[in-house]
Amino acid sequence: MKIRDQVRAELSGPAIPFVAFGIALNLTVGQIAIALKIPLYLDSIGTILVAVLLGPYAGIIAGSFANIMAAAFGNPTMMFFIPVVMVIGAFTGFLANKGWFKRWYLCVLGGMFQGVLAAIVSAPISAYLFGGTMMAGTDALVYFFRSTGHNILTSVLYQGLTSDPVDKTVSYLLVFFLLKNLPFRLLSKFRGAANVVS
Amino acid sequence: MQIPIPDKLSFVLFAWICAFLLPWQFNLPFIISLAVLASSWRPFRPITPSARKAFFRFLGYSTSFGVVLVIVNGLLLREGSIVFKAAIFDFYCGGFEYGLTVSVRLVLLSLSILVFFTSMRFQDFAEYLQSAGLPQSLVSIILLTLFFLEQLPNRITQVFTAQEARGAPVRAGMFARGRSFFLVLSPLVLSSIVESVERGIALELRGYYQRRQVKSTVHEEMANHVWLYVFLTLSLFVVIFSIVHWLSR
Repeated sequence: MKIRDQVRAELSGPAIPFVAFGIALNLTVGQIAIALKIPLYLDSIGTILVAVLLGPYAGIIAGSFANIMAAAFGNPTMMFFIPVVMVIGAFTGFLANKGWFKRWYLCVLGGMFQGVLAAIVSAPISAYLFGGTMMAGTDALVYFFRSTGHNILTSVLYQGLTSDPVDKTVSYLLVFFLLKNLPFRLLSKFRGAANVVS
Repeated sequence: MQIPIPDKLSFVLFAWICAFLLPWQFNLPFIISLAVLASSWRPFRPITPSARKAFFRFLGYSTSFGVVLVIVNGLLLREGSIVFKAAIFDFYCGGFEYGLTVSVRLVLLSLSILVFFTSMRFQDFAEYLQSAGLPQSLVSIILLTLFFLEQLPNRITQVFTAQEARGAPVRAGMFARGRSFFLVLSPLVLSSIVESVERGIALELRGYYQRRQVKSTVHEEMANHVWLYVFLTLSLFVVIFSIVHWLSR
């Protein structure tokens, strides 16, 4: 199937409103995390949800649009991380199509792989554009690695490899349990329902 | 006076070329002028109170980012001579230079994007994308996201309050709060899936998914795009200047 037809197939039926919800969820989920004082970003839950239920291209669209809109609403640095969210959407969709969201332990494994992949893709961006400083708590780790003699790129990569797999594994597990709890009658409206139900 | 969206995009391109090709000594005055321009000149001024708030918040973030980056790199990047000593810490000239280069580049890149978006309504940008040939489905996603973004914070607050009233442990230990996160997210996702299905059926009934050829309807006179030519010429000038400067080194 051509990419164009694949995208068209993924964006049919309830997909368009659901992708929009996924984007909005990415942008607002921080509100819940802050209210509950949870020290995780979890800002790609919407992308993961969309990629599992609709497919990798829908995941790519949800992730990149979320970052563009975050840039438009006051956080312009998110624009530079579009390649990272595209990888998250594509890889999650790929894993979901392979049936990795049918078992919790496969989700844990997938989340770890995803975290490593996200760290590898985001490291050059964080190092070159941001000089390793993201104005977040994780900067302390970067400074620690730099003070031990590593260059900026390696330090940012080590920091990413330390924190990203945890964040992505939690996100994957959350999405897994969310979808497990939803009635199949609803899930069956989406083309990726078979990715979740064993 | 209003500047058309393509002209503003060419300004962003110009700012990005400057950010990557020119040294920080050129770009720092550019950032300051852009910040002044964005708070005084109508075409670049944030149009809504929330956009204005976001713009000034970003200026604050940029300043603190620059200061942190310069200090950290002055301390950790031991290149060049020592500029000054503070207690047991030595600050190096090479580190300061690197910190300034990176922070000025990032702030210019980000500020140009922010000025572009805050000086217009996002709906106008979506409409422009549609007129430029972006598929209808993608434009609908953008417009529906704007709708969800208005609804979702209230819905989150409602679900949060309801779950708290039912005894969800929102103020307990870390693990219990993690469970509460799930308890809030679960009804939110369920209701949104139901809504998506309903909206999907409504779109289908209206023949939304029939194949349509989307054609660009941007047929404006090129004479209207004076700023586009100005910024493209300036961009070209910066590129040529950088190449000549690089060759003469």
